[in-house]
Amino acid sequence: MKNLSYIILTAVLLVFSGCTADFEDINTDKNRVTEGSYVPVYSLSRAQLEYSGNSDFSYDTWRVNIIYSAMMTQQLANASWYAGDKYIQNDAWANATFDVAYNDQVKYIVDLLKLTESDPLYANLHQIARINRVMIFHRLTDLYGDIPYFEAGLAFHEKNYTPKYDSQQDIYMDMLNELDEAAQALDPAGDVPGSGDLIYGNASDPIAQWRKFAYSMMLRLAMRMTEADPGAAQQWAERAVAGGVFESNADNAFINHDANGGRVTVNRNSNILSGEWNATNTGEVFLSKTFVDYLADNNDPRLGVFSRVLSSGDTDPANQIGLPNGLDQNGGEFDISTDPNFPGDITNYSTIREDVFLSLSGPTFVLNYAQVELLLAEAAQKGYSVGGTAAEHYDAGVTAAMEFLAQYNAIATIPAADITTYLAAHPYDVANGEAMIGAQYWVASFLDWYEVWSNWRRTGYPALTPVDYPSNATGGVIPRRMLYPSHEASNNPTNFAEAIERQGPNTFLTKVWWDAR
Amino acid sequence: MKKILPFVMTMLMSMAVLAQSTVSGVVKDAQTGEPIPGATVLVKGTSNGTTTDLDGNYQLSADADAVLVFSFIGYANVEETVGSRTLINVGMATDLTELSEVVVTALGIEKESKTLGYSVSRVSGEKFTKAREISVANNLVGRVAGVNSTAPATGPGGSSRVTIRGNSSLSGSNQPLYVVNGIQIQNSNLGNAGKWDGADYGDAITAINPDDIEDITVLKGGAAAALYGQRGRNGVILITTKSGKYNQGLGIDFNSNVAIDRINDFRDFQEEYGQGTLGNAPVDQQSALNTGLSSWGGKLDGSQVTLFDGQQHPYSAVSGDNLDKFYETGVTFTNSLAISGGGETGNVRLSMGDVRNNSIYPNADYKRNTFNLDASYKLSPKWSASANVNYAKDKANRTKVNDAPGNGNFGIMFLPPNVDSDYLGTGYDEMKNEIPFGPNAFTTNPYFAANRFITETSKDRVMSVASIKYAPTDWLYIRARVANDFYAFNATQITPTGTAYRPTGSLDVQRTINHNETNSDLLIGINKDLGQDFSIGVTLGGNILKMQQKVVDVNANGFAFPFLYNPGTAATNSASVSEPQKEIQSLYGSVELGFREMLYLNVTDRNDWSSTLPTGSNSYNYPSVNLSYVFSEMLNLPWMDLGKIRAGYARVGGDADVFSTSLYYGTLGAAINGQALGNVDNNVPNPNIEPLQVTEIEFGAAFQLLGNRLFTDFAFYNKQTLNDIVPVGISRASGYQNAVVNVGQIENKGFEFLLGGVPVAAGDFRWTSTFNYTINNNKVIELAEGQEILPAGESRTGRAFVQHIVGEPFAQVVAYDYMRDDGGNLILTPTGLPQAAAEPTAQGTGVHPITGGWSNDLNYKNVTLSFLIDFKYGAVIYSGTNSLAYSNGLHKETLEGRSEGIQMSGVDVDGNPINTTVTAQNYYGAVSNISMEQVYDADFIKFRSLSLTYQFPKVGKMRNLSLSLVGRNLFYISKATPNIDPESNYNNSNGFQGLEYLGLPTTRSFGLNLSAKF
Repeated sequence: MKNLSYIILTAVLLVFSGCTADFEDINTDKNRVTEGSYVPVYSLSRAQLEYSGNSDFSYDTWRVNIIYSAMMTQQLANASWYAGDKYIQNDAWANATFDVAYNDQVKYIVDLLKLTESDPLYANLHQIARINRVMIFHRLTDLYGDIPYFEAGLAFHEKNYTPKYDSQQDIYMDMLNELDEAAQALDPAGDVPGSGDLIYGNASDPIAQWRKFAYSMMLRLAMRMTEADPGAAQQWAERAVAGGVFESNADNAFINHDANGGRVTVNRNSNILSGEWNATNTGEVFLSKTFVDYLADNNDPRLGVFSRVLSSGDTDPANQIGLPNGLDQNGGEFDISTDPNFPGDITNYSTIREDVFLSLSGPTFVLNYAQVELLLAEAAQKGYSVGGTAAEHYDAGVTAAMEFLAQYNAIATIPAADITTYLAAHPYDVANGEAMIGAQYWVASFLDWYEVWSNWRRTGYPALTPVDYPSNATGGVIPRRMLYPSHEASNNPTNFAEAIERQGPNTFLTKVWWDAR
Repeated sequence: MKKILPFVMTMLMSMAVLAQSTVSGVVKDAQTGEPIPGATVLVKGTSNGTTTDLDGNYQLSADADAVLVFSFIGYANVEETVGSRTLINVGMATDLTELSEVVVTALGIEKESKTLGYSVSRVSGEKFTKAREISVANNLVGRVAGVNSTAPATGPGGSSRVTIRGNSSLSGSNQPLYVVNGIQIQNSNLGNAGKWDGADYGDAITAINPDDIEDITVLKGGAAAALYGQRGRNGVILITTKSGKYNQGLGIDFNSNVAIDRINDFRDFQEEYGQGTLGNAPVDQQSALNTGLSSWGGKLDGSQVTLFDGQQHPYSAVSGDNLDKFYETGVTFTNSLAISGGGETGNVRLSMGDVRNNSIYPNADYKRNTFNLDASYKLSPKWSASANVNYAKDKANRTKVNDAPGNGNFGIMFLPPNVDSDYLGTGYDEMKNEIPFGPNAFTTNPYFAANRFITETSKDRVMSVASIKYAPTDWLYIRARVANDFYAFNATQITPTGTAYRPTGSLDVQRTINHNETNSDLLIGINKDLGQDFSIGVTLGGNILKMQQKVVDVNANGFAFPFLYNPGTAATNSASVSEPQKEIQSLYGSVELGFREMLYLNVTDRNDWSSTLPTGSNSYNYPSVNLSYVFSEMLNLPWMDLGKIRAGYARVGGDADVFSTSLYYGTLGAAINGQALGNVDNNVPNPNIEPLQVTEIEFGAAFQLLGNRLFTDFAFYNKQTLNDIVPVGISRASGYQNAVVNVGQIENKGFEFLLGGVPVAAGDFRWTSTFNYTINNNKVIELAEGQEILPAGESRTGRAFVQHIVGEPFAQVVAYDYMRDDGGNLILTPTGLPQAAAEPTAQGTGVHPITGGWSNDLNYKNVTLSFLIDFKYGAVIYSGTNSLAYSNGLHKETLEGRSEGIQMSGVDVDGNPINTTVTAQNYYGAVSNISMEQVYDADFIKFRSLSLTYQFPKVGKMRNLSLSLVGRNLFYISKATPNIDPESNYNNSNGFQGLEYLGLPTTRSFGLNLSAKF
């Protein structure tokens, strides 16, 4: 019996010796880290990279930037299957940015704000995160209108699984405030994010750059409101200028890509239009006749930089032929052969010069000096106190737009004499000022088709002639909005319904708040 | 009198002493005459006994009035009163009922089955060895009431799906726990094709050599399995391997089996029209390439037509033998050798098994070597020890299944009628580049896929257990045991250099898994009679489970050197490491009270503490209670050998996934200009997750009548799953996609029925037959608040889905019907084609609610004929193969309207009538998207297995020699699926039940089995 008691005792010890004290340690994943060991700037890198286009095969870039925005605004054209050219509705494509931006951009930037909140080591990083958050939501709300904003990205931190949709006006007011506060809170003597900041990490004074970026972004937001709330537009545009906006192409905000990381880190437009998918070389995507003709008609020195004939590679401006939008290759009424300028074969149309714009390691521009100057020109034209005349800003904008192409590739350098010649041939005309500015903004934002489309919706410039292709979803007018995903109807039903009630039906034709022209 | 009494007593005592004599004899099988080694011979009411040796001989001392009880597993006990005899030879009859025998229950505790208040089924090992399957789990089909076994169409060494009493969790595993010699083994699938292409990497149960199995016991319900805690939630399959017997001497068992596999070609395609489009045959090589898999050409007329290879071929139906030519004759050799021996104090058994399979799929194969060592030793009268080690090594090259890339099953299936598979040659040119045969690079040339693609897996698995037992008295024992399950697994999946869609090749998977789980337990058992009427059994124990795993994944793309797939030579590569681990501590106990061998009450309880749950809520408890009433003991009817009713209740549960309670940060697998990119899952961690719970009530009865000539057993159960852990889709605007919550509720109610007996026993002829039938009614009662549908899986065609829908059974196959207006008219497209309804609708469950089998043994002298017919009813299957057969113009139905078109009448979206004629090509192209048209009844009756065994007469030292002719998966007696096998799911997980798409064709097997025992 002595043996027995001993064994029972051992048994009890065996069971309880481990106790459960080390359970938490056992259930800790040592191959990942928790908040305490994380490097917060990695979340900034991720959010910025995803803003340049989704790391999973350029999901949103392909669908919303290229298929819809670029095609609808008639910079690109196709006779294949890119539905945006013809305003055909494909819900999954029109949802794409909403589908990925919250998971891959908002989640990281919101989490970064939480991680850096009230941590003096990350005081500037926190402000930079606020500015980047505005950058991200700015695009989202421009595409979809009312969206979850204040409560977005908080499933983990606040267990909010069904964020409510905020009105675009409220979102704009808050974004402007955020930019203002963050810019003022940036401390020139404080922390710098380092190369994890993919935009200004390697600049000599990143904090000063972010301040300029914040005010330049403020100007862009302010000008977006010129139709919906002219008073606020003027007030914020003037505040932006007072804060200090971009002063040269050296201030341009862009992300340099990296071919070494494969699909995850390559330039998104290049990934689809060249590279892995190669759409410009397979005859899927061409430059639009509208775009090529605009440049050709104005003897724009940029035509030969933008354009090449697919079959021959010829970049001679005289030989470029844009593909008209709204055509197909089905042999019927809309067949490309019905184009009066049909060059005999689809491959004889012009497409994007890949050596200039479609390098896999090439930059994605977020905000450029040309856009700033052109917005200032418009502000001056409208009588806002932004310093300088509309003509001065217009000239500076056009010059910047031609010069900055060299930042893509040195071979795209436009000779200064050509710029002077161009400006002399197209002097700013106050009577026609906004149209001139709008058209220049359209060209200056090439590749950032989200921005091209938004500014076109606001200003109506350049005047585009819509196509009317069978089975289009809009009755032959250019769409004004992308579509909410249907999973929001099932996963966030109350808030989704409320947003539609307030904003209008979930269609291509419902206008967002600032689209009030 | 005072003097007489002591005298009489002395006399009696001395008589008794005198009467104690030595009794010996031989114990044999009553039918075959084969000696039974290892049978127990016990003097009733005492612990005095022995076991028979290898030739069935025994010897022991017993009084004249002693009753000897002869018992052996699988046979009915025989009782003989000694009397004046010194030689008692006994013939034991097979115990068909398995009701009065001793069975192994939870934790390896042996109990008499009549005492159990729950349902237990036993299948003896020999059922797995003749008409065999490589995986034991696949051999359970049709054998046991309540057990639904399915084998995905992925080839030898693929995984299996076994469910007991239905599916009880929407997202968790529904497969039972396997316990081999007390070792709890992890049986998760190691890789599957999901929506896209992929391969089945198999599971763990394939590590068992069927020849080593003594028997399998199935613990079906919660009451039976509650002592296993959360892991017993889906029932338990206890596998006991063979061991040596005490005093048996030396024995050698040899078994050799060869099986030939031939494919089942279920194609019934049209053979009137050939390759082409719009009714025209190809006119040149380019147009042949453009229509590689399109059978919308002209009428086959024997003319010469240029095909994809640039050669002229007759435009005639020549594709009939394509599958027979592409797929080879599969051959499986299985050899097992076991040596066993036993003396007074110890016994040992060592076995080796070797399986070599050449698959029907070219270049696919499966090899397995198993070694099993089992030893027991009596250290002293009170101490004994035993150990078992099972080592299994397997290696396979597997076929891809489902989607077209790299899947040879795809291209070969859809070759147009005028394309002979021989035209494809080896599938590659002299530079080893794929020869294209169609317009889509992602539809791989089947011969290139089979000859060049690589999907290799290898696994080394060691399952070991050692235990020591101390029994200080005959009513108490203490057992300490350590069991370990270890495996090292490697998978390599390569898209080869020269693949049309990826010319520089890619290393798609290079995965290494090291898995190690140790269970240490201690058990104290007390069994005591309390006076005349009562008995008590108490078991107390504790267990510590420690699991550790390491998974390393490497992928690479763009290789610098052709045919070299070293990630170090790739343009891009990435790697990831994960190390899940957990610990569960448990305490458990059971108390069994018996009254007059008539009434038994058993109460158990177990408490688990799991590391995967948050501190503070990591403890959970599983009680069970069951009652058995053997009323035949009271009735004492001569025609009733046994009659009992039983009832049981249990509550079991499960914990959470590892690492699911905190937010973790990692990085994406690539860096941008040297800068790491943060990464966080899209599933919100839930620190408040609770264990799910299953409660189960069962009632049953068992009868054994007419001297064991007839027996029956039935059970009703009601199993409710509460708090099921459900991933809920949340607004993506929340930053995440899924949150895991405790909300699901599922119900499984069912009825199990077993009827068996000996319809004929005349002279040397004996026919025994058993029939089992199960109906399980499953219903999803509740998902998250406001959630009606939980998506689970999607077909590659994108036209059919598997969803769990509130109010419907688990795994609904959801497909599109025709779009119709309120009046039922077809709403046609402007061109007059039918179109799919806006939303897909549920077509039925992909899991058969009704399963069963009819098993027979006919024995005449030395010849035994056994066969099994099984059936499954009540499920549907969506056939992606048939969907493509419509759009490709191969389906027989596509003949209608080829020349004259299809007359359509319906309405347009505005309700205006449309009457028009459309081409058959356009029409059936549209029909292929009306996925309801490709949802078929998956019911079947199958002639599953057949064996004819001749038992050679005993010669010399040979104890047993038998030769069997065997057949397996022979033919369907009925089925309703055109062109495909109703059992051709390609994935064994929850979300893909009821989806079919280009798996490996199923096979029928024939073979020979030779068994010899010395």
